[in-house]
Amino acid sequence: MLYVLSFLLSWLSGMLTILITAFFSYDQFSMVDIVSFATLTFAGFLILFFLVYLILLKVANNKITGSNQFIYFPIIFALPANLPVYFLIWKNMGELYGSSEATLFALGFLTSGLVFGLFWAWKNKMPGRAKRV
Amino acid sequence: MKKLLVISYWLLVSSISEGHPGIGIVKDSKGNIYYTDLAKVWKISLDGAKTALVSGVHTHELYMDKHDNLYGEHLWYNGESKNTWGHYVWCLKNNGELVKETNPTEGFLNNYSFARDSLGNMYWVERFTTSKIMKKTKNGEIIKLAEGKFGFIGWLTCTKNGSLYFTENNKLHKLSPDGKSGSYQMETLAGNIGSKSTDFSMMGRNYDSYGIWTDAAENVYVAMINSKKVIRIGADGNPQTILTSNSMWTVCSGIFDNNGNMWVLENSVSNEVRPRKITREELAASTTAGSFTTKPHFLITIVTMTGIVLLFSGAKMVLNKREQKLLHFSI
Repeated sequence: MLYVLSFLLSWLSGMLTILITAFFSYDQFSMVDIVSFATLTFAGFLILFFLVYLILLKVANNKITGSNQFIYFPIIFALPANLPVYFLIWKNMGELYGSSEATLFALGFLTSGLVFGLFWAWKNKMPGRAKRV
Repeated sequence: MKKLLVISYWLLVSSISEGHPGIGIVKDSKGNIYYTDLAKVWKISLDGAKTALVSGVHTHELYMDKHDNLYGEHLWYNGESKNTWGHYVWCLKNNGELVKETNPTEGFLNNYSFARDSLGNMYWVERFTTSKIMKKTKNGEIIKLAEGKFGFIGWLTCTKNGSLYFTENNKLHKLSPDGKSGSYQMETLAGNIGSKSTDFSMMGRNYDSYGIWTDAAENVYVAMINSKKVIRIGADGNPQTILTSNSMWTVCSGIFDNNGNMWVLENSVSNEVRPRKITREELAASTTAGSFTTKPHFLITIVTMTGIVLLFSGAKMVLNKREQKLLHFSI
């Protein structure tokens, strides 16, 4: 359940970043744009989630403990975990979309990674009361 | 690869895909409005009554001559096995008789146009690497008016006196007779009328501007199909937004009736067509304020924010329940 929630929360946060940035970047951000960004980021993040995030989360949970998680989890998921996506965005820029769309994609995935890392750091901190008892 | 992306993209967003909308909206001498919805041609009488005049005709353009004869075409696809197109030109005479102006022919209209001046001269664009703007006089003589390596040239509009307006990418040009030697002079009225749009919105085309029309004072109006607005180009060349469509509709073309009201032809995301009347009073007081909230962008941003709050609350609830279970177990 928490995996599904963390996935949706991270993806939606990425989408929100795209939507808010678009207010300042474009004169008009139509339904076609919104559906395109939503579909492509959802599909991309779904693949990334299963292939990279879950594996990395398992490793990071074992290696990083305590408050350090609040620093390292967001960094890990926003940067190294997203590297394949950043590479693909950069590689296809110009051919499939322009630089402004590439920036929006990168910002979206960066936010998704940050939120995912923070969510799991926060989740690991939450059941502290029970542990103390 | 690009083709693959375009195909998959269109499959994904097929429910909101846009076709190639028409620009045909004309008026007769009495002030009745006629428009095409790409399947029928409709008439809106002065009392507001709407009637279908010509059925089963796929025409993007219309032309009304000074005798109130209405012209249009019928364009059809012969199926994938043949992969050819066919067309003919029809005319609805002022006595109500519908006749074929040209015989059904394979291909697209050639050396024929619905952009005409009051003398009946036709004007059209031949779009190639080197594009040409052509004129066919009433006696059938074909003259080249302009030639050059233009960018994408959109719809051509002709005023009664033979001035031509057209967009080349995001520039608006005017080609007008100099009145002496019979030659034409081209001037650029506006250098940048395009809006900043994403590659997704612009996929498959490289323009934003669509139908062009003028008012009695020869102010130029351009329908911006992507940014869902109508702009008026002033004498200084600066575009001024005078009308915006809501999220589901976009303006494709327009015309002024005899009373100075503006009629715009709007196309929906599901390819429905409707005319909309903007009275001269509304036009005079036109303001684009408030259009922001009609955009789906704003609403979806709010919905996304709400979704995030709900998901976060859901996660907190799940974790609290788990903690309570752990507490209960520990105690």
